[in-house]
Amino acid sequence: MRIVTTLAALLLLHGCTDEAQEAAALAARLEQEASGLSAALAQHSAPQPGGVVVRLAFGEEADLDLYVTDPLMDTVYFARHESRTGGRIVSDIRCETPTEGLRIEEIRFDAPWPGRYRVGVDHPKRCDDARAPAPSAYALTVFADGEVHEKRGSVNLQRFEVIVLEFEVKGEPNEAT
Amino acid sequence: MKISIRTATCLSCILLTSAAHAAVFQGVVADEQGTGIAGAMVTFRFGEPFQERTVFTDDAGAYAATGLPAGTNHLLRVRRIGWKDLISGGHLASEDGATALDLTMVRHTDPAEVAAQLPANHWYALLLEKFDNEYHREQFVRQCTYCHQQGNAATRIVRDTQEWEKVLALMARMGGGLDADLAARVPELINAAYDPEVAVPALTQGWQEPGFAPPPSPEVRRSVIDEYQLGARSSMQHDMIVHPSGHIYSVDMSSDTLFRMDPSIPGGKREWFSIPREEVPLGGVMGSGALPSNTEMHVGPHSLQVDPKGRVWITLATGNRLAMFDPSDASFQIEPLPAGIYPHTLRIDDRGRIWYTIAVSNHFGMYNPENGRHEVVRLPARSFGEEVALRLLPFVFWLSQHVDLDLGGGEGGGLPVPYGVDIAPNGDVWFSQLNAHRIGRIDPETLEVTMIDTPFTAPRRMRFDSKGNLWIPGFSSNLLSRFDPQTLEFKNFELPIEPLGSETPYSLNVDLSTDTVWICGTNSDTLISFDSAAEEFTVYPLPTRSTYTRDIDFDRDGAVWTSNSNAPAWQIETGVPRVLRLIPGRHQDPGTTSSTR
Repeated sequence: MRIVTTLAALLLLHGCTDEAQEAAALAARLEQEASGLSAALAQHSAPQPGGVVVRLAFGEEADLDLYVTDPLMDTVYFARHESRTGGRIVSDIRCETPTEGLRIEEIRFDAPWPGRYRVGVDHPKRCDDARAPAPSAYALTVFADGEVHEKRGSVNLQRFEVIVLEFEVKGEPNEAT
Repeated sequence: MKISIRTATCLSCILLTSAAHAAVFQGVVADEQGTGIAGAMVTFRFGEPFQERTVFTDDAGAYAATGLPAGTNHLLRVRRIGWKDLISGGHLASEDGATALDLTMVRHTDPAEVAAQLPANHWYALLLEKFDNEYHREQFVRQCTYCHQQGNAATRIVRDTQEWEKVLALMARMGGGLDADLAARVPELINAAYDPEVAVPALTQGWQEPGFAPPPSPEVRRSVIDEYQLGARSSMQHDMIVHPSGHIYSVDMSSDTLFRMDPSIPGGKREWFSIPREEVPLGGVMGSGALPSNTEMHVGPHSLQVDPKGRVWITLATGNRLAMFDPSDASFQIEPLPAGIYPHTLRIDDRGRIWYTIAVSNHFGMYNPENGRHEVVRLPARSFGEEVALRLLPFVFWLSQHVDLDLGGGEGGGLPVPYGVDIAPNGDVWFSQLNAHRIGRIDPETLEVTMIDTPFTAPRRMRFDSKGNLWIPGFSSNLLSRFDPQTLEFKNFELPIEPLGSETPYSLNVDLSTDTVWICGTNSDTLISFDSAAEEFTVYPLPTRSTYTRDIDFDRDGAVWTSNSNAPAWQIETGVPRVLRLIPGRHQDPGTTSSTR
């Protein structure tokens, strides 16, 4: 019945606002927040060369989750701490996690397998329960093969953007076991 | 509108073409004192993608693995609970007679290693006994064992409470929701059950005694098990069938692929066909808030059956379509559903009509390829509230793609889910309604629906025998039930998997030549047969850990086929799905070609 209640509330709210104007304002705000996160992430120390490091920055209003899928199609995320290729989650930031300023999740591959990597971002939960469901901004930085890949955007509540970024690590393919 | 699309056919590498002669490895598996070990599983792997053949040792520890490709290197694994896995490579099968290979196993000395060898259901039983509320236990089993085993190495994890809460919330968004009060208790229950300090002693009590993990029966030990790697590490080989041609067809839900394997070719010739995605986006027409992270699923092929003309019909669950694959020219025909969400399991009657459950929206569909006519029936809900919620679902899904909509992931009681379906010998169509604990009959002419409560929970995929009895697995009730459509009487048989109550039978099928019922030992790495005349079970252990099986079929020689479709695939030992064949209790050489045709 929760669906019915939510739907009724949405229908009642419908027509009370200028949707286009509101959407534009929201997009502008999210872009501004993502830019800020991206700038702050850039100030974060660069990792030692050689591995793959993926960092996801987001604000304190949400719990976002970082997913990195390796060339074996094996994924590291908050519930799978290590993959068969040695990927590991260094920090999972939750609503309850005390942070000072920037909230950053990080996944590392110290000896990355060559091949294609996929980065996903999930938005499972708001941390400010008083606010209505809303998208949250994020910024992403990938250090791999001496290159830096950046991405910023936003993700709706309870949406999992499975592919927000893909990148390649060069080298001879490893033999799958 | 029908769209006919011809796809490219990709032929996999076919190795072993020079292996013309069937080779044999034989020897004795013994302990360090030279005493034979009964019931060890001796597995030979060869080829790329691999095939594995497993045989069992007899009372004296002797084994003979026949039908292997000569002149080919094999990777060997010997497995027996209580002993360390023996793994070695480079075993060349001789082209001249049998290759002698005696093997010595070493006892485990660490009980934790022994506990780790036990199938998932042993661990799961520790958790289930923590529940003091049957409603919660049933709900947890039904909702949390939907896609993967519980109690396997990937799930028997101790996590902090906050991490468990996140895991449960994610699973709820994937369809495995729990009531709030149960979800609040689960972290504590799991952590208490799977704490190694408690679990290992409980699981390994008496592990050094002879009666611990006894060998299977001699009949079972005469069986041969073949496993064929199929798909990739992101694959989900949901269902498979045996085509009258002898080919094995399997659908990879994660990659929108139809696989075809010819077991008459050494190592199994694999082909794959990309199912047309048309304009369906990643995740499907209704979208989803939580997809597997490595998915490539757009249309989501789920189940498949063969029609009287030899064509393969497939439900495209997330594409909301039916697909027809014509083996004669490797073409697909796509048929959109006129109504409903998530076409699930299908059966085809003697007239070639496609009958299928539509899971999410509680519908049942029929499509007649002869005249292009569709029929969709809305199935009964249990209450007015359910009915309203079900009718609003399409709009809610649409809305959730455009605005933030916190749906909360659903609750554990769950809306009715039309699930299994089968056609009775008299032509009546029967289905199960999983979460509602009911089965139903549809009159194939009038489409009138009759519902019947089951005296057990979670009826899943069911089948008729040759006499018109309907056999039903109780997914969360650990039983096999026989239903007589004439008298409307049920007779239940508790599954004999130890510890009792820890099994979750997903599906079954009936070998109509003998009316033997074969049941998925989905949580125990087993296949279970039931002699319907003698009313006796036989349990066949399978060699690969985390063998989550969903559907069963038979080839013309009575071999039993199924697929390992644990999702995610990385939880499967070796990380890749397989289709597998069990040749029950036979002495004869099954042949290099793996063919029993």
